Amino acid sequence: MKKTKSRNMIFAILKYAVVLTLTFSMLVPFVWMLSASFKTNLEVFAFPIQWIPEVFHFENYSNVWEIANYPRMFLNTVKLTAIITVLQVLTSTLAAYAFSKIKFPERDVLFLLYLATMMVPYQVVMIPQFSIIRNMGLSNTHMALILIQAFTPMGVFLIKQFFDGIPNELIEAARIDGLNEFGIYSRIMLPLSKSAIVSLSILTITATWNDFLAPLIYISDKDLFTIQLGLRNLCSEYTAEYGQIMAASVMSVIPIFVLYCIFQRFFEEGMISGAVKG
Amino acid sequence: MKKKLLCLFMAAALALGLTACGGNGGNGGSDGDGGSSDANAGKDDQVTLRLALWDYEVDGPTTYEPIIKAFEDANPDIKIEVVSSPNADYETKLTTMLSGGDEVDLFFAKSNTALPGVQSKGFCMDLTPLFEENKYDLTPYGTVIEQQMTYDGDVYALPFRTNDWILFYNKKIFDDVKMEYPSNDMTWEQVGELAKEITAKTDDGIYGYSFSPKMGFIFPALAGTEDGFDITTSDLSCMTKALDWILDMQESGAMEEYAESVSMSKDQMYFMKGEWAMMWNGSWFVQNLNNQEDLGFEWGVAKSPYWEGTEKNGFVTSTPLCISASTKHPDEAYKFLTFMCGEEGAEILATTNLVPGYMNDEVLASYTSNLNLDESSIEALTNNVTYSFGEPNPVFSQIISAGQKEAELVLTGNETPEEFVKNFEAQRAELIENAE
Amino acid sequence: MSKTNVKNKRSTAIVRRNRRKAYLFLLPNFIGFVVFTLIPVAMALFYSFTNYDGNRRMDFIRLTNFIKLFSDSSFVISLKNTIIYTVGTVPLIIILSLLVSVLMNNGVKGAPIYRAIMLFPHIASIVAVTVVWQFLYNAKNGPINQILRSIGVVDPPSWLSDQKTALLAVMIMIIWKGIGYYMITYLAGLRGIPKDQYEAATVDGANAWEKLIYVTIPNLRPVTFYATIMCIINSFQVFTPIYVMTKGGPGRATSVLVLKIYEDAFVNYKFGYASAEAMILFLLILVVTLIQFYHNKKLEA
Repeated sequence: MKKTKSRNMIFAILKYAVVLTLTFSMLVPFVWMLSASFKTNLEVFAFPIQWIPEVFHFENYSNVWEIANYPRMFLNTVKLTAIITVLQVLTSTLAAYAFSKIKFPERDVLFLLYLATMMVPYQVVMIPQFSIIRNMGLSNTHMALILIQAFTPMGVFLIKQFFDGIPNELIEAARIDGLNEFGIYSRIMLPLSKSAIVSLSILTITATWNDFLAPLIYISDKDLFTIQLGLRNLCSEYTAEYGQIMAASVMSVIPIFVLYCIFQRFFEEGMISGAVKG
Repeated sequence: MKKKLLCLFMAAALALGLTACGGNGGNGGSDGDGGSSDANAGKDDQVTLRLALWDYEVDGPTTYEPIIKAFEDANPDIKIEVVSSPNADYETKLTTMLSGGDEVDLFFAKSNTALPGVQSKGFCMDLTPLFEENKYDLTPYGTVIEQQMTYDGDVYALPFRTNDWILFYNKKIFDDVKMEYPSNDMTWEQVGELAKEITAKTDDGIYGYSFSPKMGFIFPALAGTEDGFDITTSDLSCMTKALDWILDMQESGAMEEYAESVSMSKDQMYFMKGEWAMMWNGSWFVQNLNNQEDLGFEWGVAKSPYWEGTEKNGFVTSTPLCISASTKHPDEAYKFLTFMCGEEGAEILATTNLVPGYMNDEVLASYTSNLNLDESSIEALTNNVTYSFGEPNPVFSQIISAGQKEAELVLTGNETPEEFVKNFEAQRAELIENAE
Repeated sequence: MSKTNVKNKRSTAIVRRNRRKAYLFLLPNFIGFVVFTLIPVAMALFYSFTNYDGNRRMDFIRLTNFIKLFSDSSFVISLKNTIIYTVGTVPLIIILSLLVSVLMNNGVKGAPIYRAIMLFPHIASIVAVTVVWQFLYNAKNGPINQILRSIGVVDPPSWLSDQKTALLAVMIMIIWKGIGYYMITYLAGLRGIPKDQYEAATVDGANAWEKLIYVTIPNLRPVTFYATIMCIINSFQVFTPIYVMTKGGPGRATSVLVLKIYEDAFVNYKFGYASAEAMILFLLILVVTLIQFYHNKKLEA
């Protein structure tokens, strides 16, 4: 009895040590980033590190806000992220259901085809894809970004793996009860995989929010800029204002971080309901 | 089942083909699909030219906007639409647009070293017939046209601006230690001695000599070690002289170590901060310095140093403007090209402290009168004898890039100058062989 | 005879019905997938057998690109670096994120806060993260080397500027950046494991370690498959962190395949050649994935 108690104690200490060390190591660079965002370019790299700047240079933030037309970019990015995430989740879960719970002859081949396209680096796909979008008359529109990012195979893959974990007996039972396939999908599979859907949402949101390459290629009109594209345009390589770059980064991280914190509750609920029924 | 799969693909491909054709039909002709709506809303005879360049957000107001505005005022039937991307991503954006079939009428090449690549793939229009037809005078551009813009006797671009590599110096640091300013006739060896002397006489944290920690900012000096150097054909062992010089500067502490500068992102800002007594940089930096409101010291420039035993000369680069080979409006594009890179554009550009590619007496007078510099500095910026990396060819930029990567290994202490020569020569041979 | 015929007929009918149902579910995603992913990928595959230069030239040159590749020292170096990078990062990311998620699932007070913080590196822009790490890696005064010196390392490495440690430095940053996301994925998977399995294991007298090995890990197999494949793909295709942090330097010490592909396609206009390089990368990932795929199938059976 005593032995297990002390062993549990050691385990608990070890557990907290690992978790806290990792958390700390992940937090420090961001504290540095936050502190640098209030400094002038030359103070940023001064040694020893001054964690709290002597003078807070808020103009780094106001510059980004005004020059880059931040509100406009913010709205654009939110719009794109929302549409892409909804489409991605919707079409991915549907397709994943077919791959995971319906037996049809081409299933493995098609699934491998999905996987295979992920293995070709985007750098060689970019130009053919650009030609297709251009021929549809969609270059320099938000539609271009939505179409190329809303149907990625990655989402199907992720959800399918989670669907695979849901016992087939559950579905067979539902079929016997007379539920049709769409009913099984919407009333059984979706509620059971809330946490996976949240996981995919986080992945899609961050990918869309932070994507720079696609907006760079497809968007030329300043009114259509996303946050990442706008900020990168603001920070030229040869007159790099590091304080400003950091302020810009903080401003691009905060919205998505707030979003995550809101999601977190949903995430928690999703995980609990998944656990109870499973 | 294989048949069925095939059918499905065929159907999808067909569907794509239809939408693609439909898209083409709908957008053909004047309705440039990339063009913004307000451009098309104008009169029917108005032409919109799309011009690709980089860092418009940063450099636009000072450098490009005034010229574009002057052009649009003079040619109300032509509208210029700028397509800009960040500096570091310009190649990605430009290549995608050119290869993906997007409408681009004019584009800047990143530098004269990048021009042979785009030119050899047929993206640039041959300008010679247009020049001949319009009897356009190319003499005000000097030797740059022939050195950097001509391929097989035909001209493919005009230089918008040129860039002399010169020595910037902080007068205050020199005054404080009671030393004479660098002169317009110095060898690199003399600059080295000067830098060491200053470093010894000043406080910690001040370096006698430095450059922005990117290989592009020092590599040209390596090509000046031999008269008539050609990076594709010359014996590369002459470059060790320059590498030894840099290593000596680092070891003696007259220059901050390259690796250290990189990790601290120590670029030309540190010249502005007053930590560098001398800096080798392009003449475009004059504009940056003059735009600083509160620098806290006076500065001057001297002609580029040269290596002992070579002719007295400096390095020059240029920024070429090309007409896209696939433009639908060659006449309008030609009009803009000869405006932007011609006399009118040069007159405006000269007032912004950048060196126009087009030079005549008035432009030069305007340029020098706007510099706000002492006489010796003005002399440093004019009448320069220049060299470049040699004859352009399709693997030109690849060879330069390979050389820069190898040289970086020397500066970071991973390789000796002798190993550099050996490895660079091997890579060069490989690149030339694989090009066939 | 007639009996089997009827049976066959019925099974074909089922197959047909299933197929129709499956394609209905697949359709919305499949159309987008074919048009915007599959066709461009097929075009890239086709380019790899040509000398396409992005504009005028496109001759069918069979395997010439693929033969040339292996006498291209930059390609060979990049291939080697990519493999080292993948082998070095993937197992660590997977094991560490699994470990952390199991710990976090084990009743840690304040878990939501830690979880949120650990996701920081994943959601932050790579440019900012890179600038921070470049600073951390500074050889003379950088925080990392200061810590190393304080624990008695006399001659700490100069990280990004040393040919021997540059790739390692990038790898450490990527592991740091990657753990958070896979941890979240594992946490989602952990919640799906039926509680009664743990109860049964407890009744059988299993300790924490045995529960991990015999209950947790087998139940996480689909998630692990996903995590490993995605992690392998992302590692083999690493580009942005290296492009921003080192541009492949010093020298070619951190040059990876996608960086080489990018340079060949976008700077040198060698699209055919770059596509051939991409196909080698593709085959490499495909082989690793197929091994995983069939290994996974075997474990499931």
